[in-house]
Amino acid sequence: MNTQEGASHVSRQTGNGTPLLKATALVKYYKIRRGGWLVRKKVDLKAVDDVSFSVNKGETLGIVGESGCGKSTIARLVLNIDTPTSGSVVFKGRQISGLPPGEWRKLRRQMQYVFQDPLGSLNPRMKIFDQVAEPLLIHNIANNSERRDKTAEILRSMDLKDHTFYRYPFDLSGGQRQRVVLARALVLNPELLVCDEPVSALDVSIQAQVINLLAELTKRMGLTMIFISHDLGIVRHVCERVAVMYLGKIVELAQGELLFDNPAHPYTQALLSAIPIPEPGLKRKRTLLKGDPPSPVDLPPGCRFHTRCYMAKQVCTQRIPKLKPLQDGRLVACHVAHCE
Amino acid sequence: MNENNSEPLLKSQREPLLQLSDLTVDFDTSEGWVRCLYGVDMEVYSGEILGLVGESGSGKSVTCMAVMQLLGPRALVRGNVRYKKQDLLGLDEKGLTRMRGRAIAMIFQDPMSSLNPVHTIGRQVIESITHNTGTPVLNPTDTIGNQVEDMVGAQLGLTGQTARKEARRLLARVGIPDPKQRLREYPHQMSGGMSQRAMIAMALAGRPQLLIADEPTTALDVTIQAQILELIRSLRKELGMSIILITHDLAVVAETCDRMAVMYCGRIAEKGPVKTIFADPRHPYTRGLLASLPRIDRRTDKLFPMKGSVPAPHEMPQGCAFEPRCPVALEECRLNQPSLTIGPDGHSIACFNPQRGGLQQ
Repeated sequence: MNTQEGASHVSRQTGNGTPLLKATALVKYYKIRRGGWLVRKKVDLKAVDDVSFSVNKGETLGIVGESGCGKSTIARLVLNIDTPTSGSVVFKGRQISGLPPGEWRKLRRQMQYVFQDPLGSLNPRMKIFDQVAEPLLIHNIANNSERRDKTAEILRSMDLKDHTFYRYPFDLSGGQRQRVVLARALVLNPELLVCDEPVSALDVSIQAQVINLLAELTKRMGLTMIFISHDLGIVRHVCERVAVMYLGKIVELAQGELLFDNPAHPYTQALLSAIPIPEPGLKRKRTLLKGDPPSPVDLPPGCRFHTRCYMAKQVCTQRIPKLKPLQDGRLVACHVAHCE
Repeated sequence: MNENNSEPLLKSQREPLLQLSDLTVDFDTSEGWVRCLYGVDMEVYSGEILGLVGESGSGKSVTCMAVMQLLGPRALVRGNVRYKKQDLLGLDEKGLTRMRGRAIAMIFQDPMSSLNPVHTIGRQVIESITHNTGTPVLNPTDTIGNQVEDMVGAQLGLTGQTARKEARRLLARVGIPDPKQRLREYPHQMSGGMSQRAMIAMALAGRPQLLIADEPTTALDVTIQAQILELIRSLRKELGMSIILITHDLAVVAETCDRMAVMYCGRIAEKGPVKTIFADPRHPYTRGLLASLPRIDRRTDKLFPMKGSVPAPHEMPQGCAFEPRCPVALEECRLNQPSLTIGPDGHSIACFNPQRGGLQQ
């Protein structure tokens, strides 16, 4: 299978040692009900379809794409919130899909996650300090006084003042809440942090605070991060490598600089050109996509992007393009890009 | 569409189409009166796109809701809102109905929740057409079925058949493919982008001269956002409409608007032509916003966030609302409220210590 070749290529390319996490041919289909009220049938919603990638130790991988492209499903599969239909996830050389719950509990210490809505992630009836200390309690780490010190230390490193420690989530601002969520994820000293749209719910000026904090911490703690976002500006700022997804498939995976300065896949090009740039009067080459993305239930044959692609050829409607390396080392799934 | 409006593009006459002066809004809450707008002065000229930017809670939506008078009985609106020399705040309910949709129309952030899920798109667009083209005599919302709808349509300017034709034309105008089929569909059958287009079609039904778009693309994906912004720009160009675009995204303003107003805590911090403000931002808040933006067209090593966060409405500082977060605050800023001073080129700043020169980037 070509995707396997692709995944191994990625780890070779970035070099430093073994990948911390490796996903191979991940597939997730959700069964949904379709049809009228007389004839009901179950159909597959192809949320993630044959996706392979790897994340090296200390690296930040960005996953970008529009809503419904499967980026959050990948986070859920990696963290075993959902079990994949097929394919495997290997964490530190160990197959982790389908592990018994007891084993998972031990693993969770090393894999933490931050979701979009901080208020929804926090317990409204628990004080900030207790919420951040709770993971230590659950995993039975440290005695009482050590636990207190550790919690206070991590909260302070998040720029949270001591007087906020014994407040409830509703007392805090959005930015503070997200920093509490981050503190709770990092108090266990995890190796992998999965962030799913961590700053989308925040205002611009607060976004920058949280992003700076996140960047500083990953550097200091040597964290490996999977950063999921639809905001490509932030992804460019935070991530070293970026995977672009469209309808459940990775269409391009490359080093950040390469991808943003010189996108190869027509979808990446369109996505980048659709993002407004804060500079009035700037003349840009625009690739405006027509129409909406097709439904993940009725996918078009061949390349999934061909219905909106401005470069589509005959072959694109018939054969599914595989994720293959180009000369410059990046991976692209496009018939046209490979011909040129 | 608006044939008799042959205004040349962007020739803003000195007389503004909409003028807000000293607009103040207080809300009657359980914790007492809370002030949300502190004397906002703003004007919209005909044929221009005005960008209204600010963080959440800065009062940008309240400003526009006050213009449309959609704030409800718990809001106390004072000041002056003039639309073509007519005082909007003095209008009675009948006058308001005539104004809403025909003079000024509004679209909202989430198209899915703005549309009624149990009625077809066609019904809703046609309702807007019948409601906003003839003389409104009765409320067609409580009618059931197409036949009644036709009767209602016949009573008001456009009959069912012509109204349906007009609906098809409007949907085609906003770029919805196969309008005939789409009119028969329900909102859940359409994507977010399509629903927002349908909302715009409904807003266009009354041929308004001013369209207020409150974060029209925030709920949409970037590629769809680009399509909708393109549509908004083309509407301005073809119909000579004025548009107020409320957004929190400075990049959207840079690409879409002619003039902009930056709001902070219920006041206008800086306003003027978009090009001038982006080239030479003067207010520390505007500068802070611009410096904290991550960009896709260049690599930035560090973002420059503003410290602190927006103060809550009931704990506003005595002086300038931005003073606690301001890197260049003076003693005076803590005590007094800076007023909006109008500079050359219509570039106005409300600051005691306006800055100059390049940003930290």
